[in-house]
Amino acid sequence: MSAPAITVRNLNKSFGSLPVLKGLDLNLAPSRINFIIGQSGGGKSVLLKHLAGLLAPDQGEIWFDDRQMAGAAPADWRALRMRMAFLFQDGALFDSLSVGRNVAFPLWVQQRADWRAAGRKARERLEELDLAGAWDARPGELSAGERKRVALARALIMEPEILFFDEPTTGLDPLLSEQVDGLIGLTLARTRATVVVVSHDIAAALALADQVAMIHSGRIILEGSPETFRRSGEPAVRQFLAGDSEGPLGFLD
Amino acid sequence: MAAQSSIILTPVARLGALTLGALYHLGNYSLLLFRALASAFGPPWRLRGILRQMEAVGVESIFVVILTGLFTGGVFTLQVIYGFRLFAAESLVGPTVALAMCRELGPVLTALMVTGRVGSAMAAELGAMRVTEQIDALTVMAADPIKFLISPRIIAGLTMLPFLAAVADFTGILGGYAVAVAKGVDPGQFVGRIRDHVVLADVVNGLTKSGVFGLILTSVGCYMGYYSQGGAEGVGRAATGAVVISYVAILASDFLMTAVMF
Ligand SMILES: Nc1ncnc2c1ncn2[C@@H]1O[C@H](COP(=O)(O)OP(=O)(O)O)[C@@H](O)[C@H]1O
Ligand SMILES: [Mg+2]
Repeated sequence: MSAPAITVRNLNKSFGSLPVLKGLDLNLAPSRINFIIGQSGGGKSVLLKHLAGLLAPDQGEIWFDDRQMAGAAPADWRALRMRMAFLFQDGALFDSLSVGRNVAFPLWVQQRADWRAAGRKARERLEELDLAGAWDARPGELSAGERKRVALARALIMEPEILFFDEPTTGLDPLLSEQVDGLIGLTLARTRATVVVVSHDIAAALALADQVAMIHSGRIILEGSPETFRRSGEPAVRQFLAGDSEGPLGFLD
Repeated sequence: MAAQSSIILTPVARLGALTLGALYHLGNYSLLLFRALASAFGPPWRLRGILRQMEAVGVESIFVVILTGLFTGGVFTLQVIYGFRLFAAESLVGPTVALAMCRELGPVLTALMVTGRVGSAMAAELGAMRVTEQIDALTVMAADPIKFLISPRIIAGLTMLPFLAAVADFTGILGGYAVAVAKGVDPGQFVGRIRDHVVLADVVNGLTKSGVFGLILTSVGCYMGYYSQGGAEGVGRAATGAVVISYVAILASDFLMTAVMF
């Protein structure tokens, strides 16, 4: 199996009376780095969770190649998730496990690998991120940046075909951001996965992405190559690129 | 017009919404309980997880349960001696205390103590895992969170509560014995009459009830935490809600089971 294209059609989602996604359409290219950018609170995490089946849409379709997954049976989602990894915004490391076991966990649970074999691979991943020293630590003892990198190591251990990253570099200093960005590029080269990165880091998006989509008011207002974005005359896009506080987006944080 | 009719309609609508809400939660809870029990019996076996929960529920509760048993047995005996002296039935103090402990006080008080210790902690733990997206993380790794997080806790409750209740029964009778002897009841009579009047079924039925209580307090705690919403505040609500709901469910099911069993 090769990395799938992901297509979203007319996705709608409200929480109570708060509409977050309003008929969103999106095309994500297979075996490419796709960035989804937009303001905080704009529904980027909500969108990503729909793609992983963690939230159910009120309406709409989510296609992985030619399979429609919105409303699919739990067993179908489970099969798809064996090919998928997800980096959560705040890491979502298991507090009750050591760092080493956290990273080894997907191997252990998905391939029934024993802890020793899974641990060898986990150590390699941690070394790539200069975190071998944190092996026995508990997630609670790490800094926010370290937690994020451990979560990244955990997401990369399976070499999945579909990779979802929710703000992988938010909260990291520039040097670490660069290291993480580099690793995302490396992973793609190694696994040819369909990578979806949610970010409000516009510079990283334009530098790294093959494809960019911008979410605003619950819809995708522009998708295309980084070049398309640089040239766009759309006011909201221009404002986001320039980081201005005045414009259709309202105040930027 | 709208304002007028709402004075009448609002309470009715509220009641309707409340009933629907309760029914929804009851159905959802039953489903979770069923899935937790069904998924426990199949690979990958979660033996280590179950043992850890058995330790948290059982071993770490022993001390509280011993104290509960001793004091309950003691105070109950004080009251019984007072009452029975009125009609010279002191020889029946032993069996009265033993029957009350084994059939009722041991199982119920143990369950209430463990709810406060463990049921609320389970709600808080799972609630925190929900808020910090650890439950979502398990799901995207294709690992069933119900099997990993909830099944071991329910199994631990189901198996450890009878054990704890037995400890409470025993220490309750021990506390009663100490008080009775200090109050001048004949020690031989206290023990002898227990032998005459207490049968195995009294003990076994009590322990069976406590197994059900263990199932209730762990599954309610897990349910409240697993479906908690609204950040840290929601976690707090889940923990207190788990205690209140478990208490009511334990007392109500105790009445029902006792009516059927004894
Ligand atoms: N589970 C939820 N329940 C209620 N509201 C939610 C939930 N998840 C997200 N929201 C709301 O949806 C909106 C978008 O959130 P999110 O997707 O996290 O934004 P971001 O683009 O910063 O990732 C926010 O207003 C948030 O409060
Ligand atoms: Mg977000």
